[in-house]
Amino acid sequence: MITPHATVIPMDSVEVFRGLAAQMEAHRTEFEALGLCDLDLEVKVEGPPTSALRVLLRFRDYACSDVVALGPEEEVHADCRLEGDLAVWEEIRDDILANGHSTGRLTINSLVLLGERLRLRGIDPMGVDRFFRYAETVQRFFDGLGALAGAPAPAGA
Amino acid sequence: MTDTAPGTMSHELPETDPMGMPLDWEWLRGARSEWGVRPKPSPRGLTMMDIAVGSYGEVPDYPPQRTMAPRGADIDPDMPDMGYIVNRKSEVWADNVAELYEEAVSRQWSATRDIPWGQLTELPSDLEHAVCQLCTMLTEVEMIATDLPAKWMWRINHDFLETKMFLATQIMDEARHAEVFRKRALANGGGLLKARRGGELLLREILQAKSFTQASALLHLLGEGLILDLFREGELIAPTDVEKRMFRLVMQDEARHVAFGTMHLRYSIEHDPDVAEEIHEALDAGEEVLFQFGAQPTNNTAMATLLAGGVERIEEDGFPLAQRLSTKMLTSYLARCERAGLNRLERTKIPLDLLGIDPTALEVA
Repeated sequence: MITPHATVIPMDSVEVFRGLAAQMEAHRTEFEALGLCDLDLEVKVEGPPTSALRVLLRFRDYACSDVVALGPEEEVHADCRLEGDLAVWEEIRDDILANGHSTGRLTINSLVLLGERLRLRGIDPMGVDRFFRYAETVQRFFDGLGALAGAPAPAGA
Repeated sequence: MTDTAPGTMSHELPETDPMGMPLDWEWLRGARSEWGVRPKPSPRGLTMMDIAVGSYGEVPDYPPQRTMAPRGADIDPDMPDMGYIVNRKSEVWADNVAELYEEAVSRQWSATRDIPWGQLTELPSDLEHAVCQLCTMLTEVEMIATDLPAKWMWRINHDFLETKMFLATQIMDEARHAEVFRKRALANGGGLLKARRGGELLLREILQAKSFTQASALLHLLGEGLILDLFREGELIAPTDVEKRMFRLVMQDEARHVAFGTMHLRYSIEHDPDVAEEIHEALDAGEEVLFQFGAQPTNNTAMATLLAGGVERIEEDGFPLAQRLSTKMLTSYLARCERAGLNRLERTKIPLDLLGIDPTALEVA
């Protein structure tokens, strides 16, 4: 089920990820309860040039302190990378908007474990394992799409 | 408070108390100390990394004494011997241990409070039985990771305080895991189901390791590495938000333990290359027992039932997906071995071809 808000949350926009970082900050108490997070996570939305996106999310302590848009070939140091096509990111979004949070096989962990539509990659196993060390924080970060839908549309969206 | 250095007090101090007993002022003016050290708190607070300054941050390769006195204190030369048998840094250290301790303390959770138990819903009988069987097995195996660190902690030299502190967090983590799985088995009208011999054989193999490094290889790298992937599968097949949350939270703890073990083994091998063979021997035996445990039909049928969403499609969906996930699980284990500095590809009896594991493309995934 797609809510009317889905159209104003384009998953190939860096502003959406900035909006998620702002949501994390707005719900800081909730994230502090989950504990500190130290993770550099690259998110790659694959698609035609008009909808391809690479963004680096720097999680420090209880916040996503940096959201950096990356060029198509730009080299970046990240602990690990989530990559999938626009369709899967939109499906994640729609599930969150419909249910308030990811459900069933559309949670980030479930999708990367199946490994067909969303993949978790990294050069260093220790870096990839960081994703699992902060699994609840990362999932809650993306669940912030639900709150984002109720918030004013992010700038540039 | 001023930075007055020891020995510079101008006030005349009494030599005896009112009862005439001699007084000791050495702590005030005679102690060898780094007085005046002021670690700076980081944004998250004053961490163990922040206070690892000067000599306080120096962890000796071979501590000069076997005492519980704090590393960095002015220690009497005639302290009683506490009888520690693990007295070499490379036997217990990991470069990420202080970071992991801080993370463990920060990311504690409560199996009572943080799981939305009220959201449990009635499940079809086969799924409820499968969840209960999985939780029975996990309740059993998780406590090994409490017992094993506890077995070794009092034998480890106290100069390796950060490692002992981290192991203390692991003990608490695993007690909570046993708690949460036991609670889930009982909470939805099911109960604890079958405990099989294979599980006990595996636990005994781990518990009887001859050194801490062998124990760490069996527990943190092999056992918990595979259980981490099992928790990931648990999150995938979770029938309700209760199990989703439960498996994500235990997953985080387990990944921390794996991170310690991986980097401990790496440190150990880098500083004592001969220890690699000792680790290989432990893993040779451990993999064999673990493979027998992994092949036992009780837990496999329960997991495949959950993967298939019920017994009706277990052959079409459950077993094939379970097989695929097992391949990923063992690939991740072998990748972590490589990261730890252990090439298991030439030693392992795991049937790589049969499982479809590509030895040229090992990665955690």
